[in-house]
Amino acid sequence: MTSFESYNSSEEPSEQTPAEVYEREFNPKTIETPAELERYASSLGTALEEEIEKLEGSSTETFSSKLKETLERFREKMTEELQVAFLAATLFAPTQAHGADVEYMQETINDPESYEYKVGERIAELREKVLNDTKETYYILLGRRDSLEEITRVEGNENSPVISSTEEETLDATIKAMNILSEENTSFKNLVGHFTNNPITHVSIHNHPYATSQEVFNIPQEDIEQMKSGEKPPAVFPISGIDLKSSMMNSSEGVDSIGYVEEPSGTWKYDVNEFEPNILIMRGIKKQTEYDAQAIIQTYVYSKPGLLEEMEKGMEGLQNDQYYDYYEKHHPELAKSLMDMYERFQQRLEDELDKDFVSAGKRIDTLFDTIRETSLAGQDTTELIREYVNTATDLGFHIVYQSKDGTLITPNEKPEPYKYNMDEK
Amino acid sequence: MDTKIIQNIIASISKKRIEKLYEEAQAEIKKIREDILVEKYTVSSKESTV
Repeated sequence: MTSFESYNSSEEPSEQTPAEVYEREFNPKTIETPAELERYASSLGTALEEEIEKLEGSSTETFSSKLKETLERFREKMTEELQVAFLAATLFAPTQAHGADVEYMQETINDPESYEYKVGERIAELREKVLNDTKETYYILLGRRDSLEEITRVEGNENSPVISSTEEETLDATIKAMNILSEENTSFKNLVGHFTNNPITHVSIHNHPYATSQEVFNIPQEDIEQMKSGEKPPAVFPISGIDLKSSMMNSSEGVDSIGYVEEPSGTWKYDVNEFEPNILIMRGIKKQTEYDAQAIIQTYVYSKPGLLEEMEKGMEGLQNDQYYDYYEKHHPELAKSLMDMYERFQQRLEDELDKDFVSAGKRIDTLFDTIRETSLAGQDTTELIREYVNTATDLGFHIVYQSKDGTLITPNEKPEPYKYNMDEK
Repeated sequence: MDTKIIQNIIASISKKRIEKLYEEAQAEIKKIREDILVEKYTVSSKESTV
């Protein structure tokens, strides 16, 4: 054996492929959330570190510093990548909260006389407007069928269930609708309203926060049952926390509802923890990225007869993190389009987003999870919610809250950022 | 198209890109390792020559 071979064999660090790291470090079968992706990335970072450590013993100072630089560079790029991943996941987050509504709409969408069909028309119209105008913010207000009639009545236009297209109108109409509903239900307490963030989704007013939260946050049914029966304290759900993040990215406002509980009798009652601000109205920045992305994918898919069916078929057995590989293998053209789209998306974020804003968004995201976990553990969440609210406020979101007597306190007209003051409780 | 599908695709792309970064870093480390070996071999050769 030559000296070179001797060095080579004795000092060969064990390189690990991503698949090996994934297998070893990452227990879940699939990556489903950005947080899991972050964990995976962190494992990859550790694997690199191990490789480097093995080499450092035999390297000079110069090489050692080069190795450290490599690791540093990797971590920096990884952070950027994860940031994009977080935001992408947010942007493209399906409107889980509205699963039932969507399903219902799909069933009835083909009936031109149906309410949903008309909504669909209006959505299409507004969407068109939004696509042509990135400066103005539009909103659509939808709700459950029973609520919608009231909302329509508020607007005095029975033929147009979409009540408004601007921020002020929407806010105003929402409040009116809530007031009407609150009168009918003796209180405003059983309402959970939130704005989602783009013209193809909607503002919804619904009264099943548990169902919503459960869907969105995978809360075990057992926990829900225990909360309902009073065995467990009610969870505090910033129900549209996801929307909060999305709102930052898109353009509109979101309303964050915190703290609802269903009494054992089945009546929804505003609670909880005596924390008053139950609504956050947020203001974000307009982004068309998601439309770009959807347009790219849709255009491609619909231009290839049968592709959609094949994609859906192919997806049946796939895990979340296997889609790209599938497309790369079976539809390389589509895979390339997707990657190009993603790169444009990333570039756009870099160009348009303030880094502080992004990291604050991430902080909110983390806080949101912590609030939920703390609440589920039956511990006091007041301080966490305070931080949550203040962070959102610092980002320039408007906050509207309900006072103890049930009065909805809102900023006037075009709201200025409103600082929630805990002392006002 | 279902936004869930798009979201899944995005997650998949993110993972792919992160793995690419990892492999790039690994390639850099490999190159540095080779440089280390070359330097050691060179030093070792010189020593044995001396």
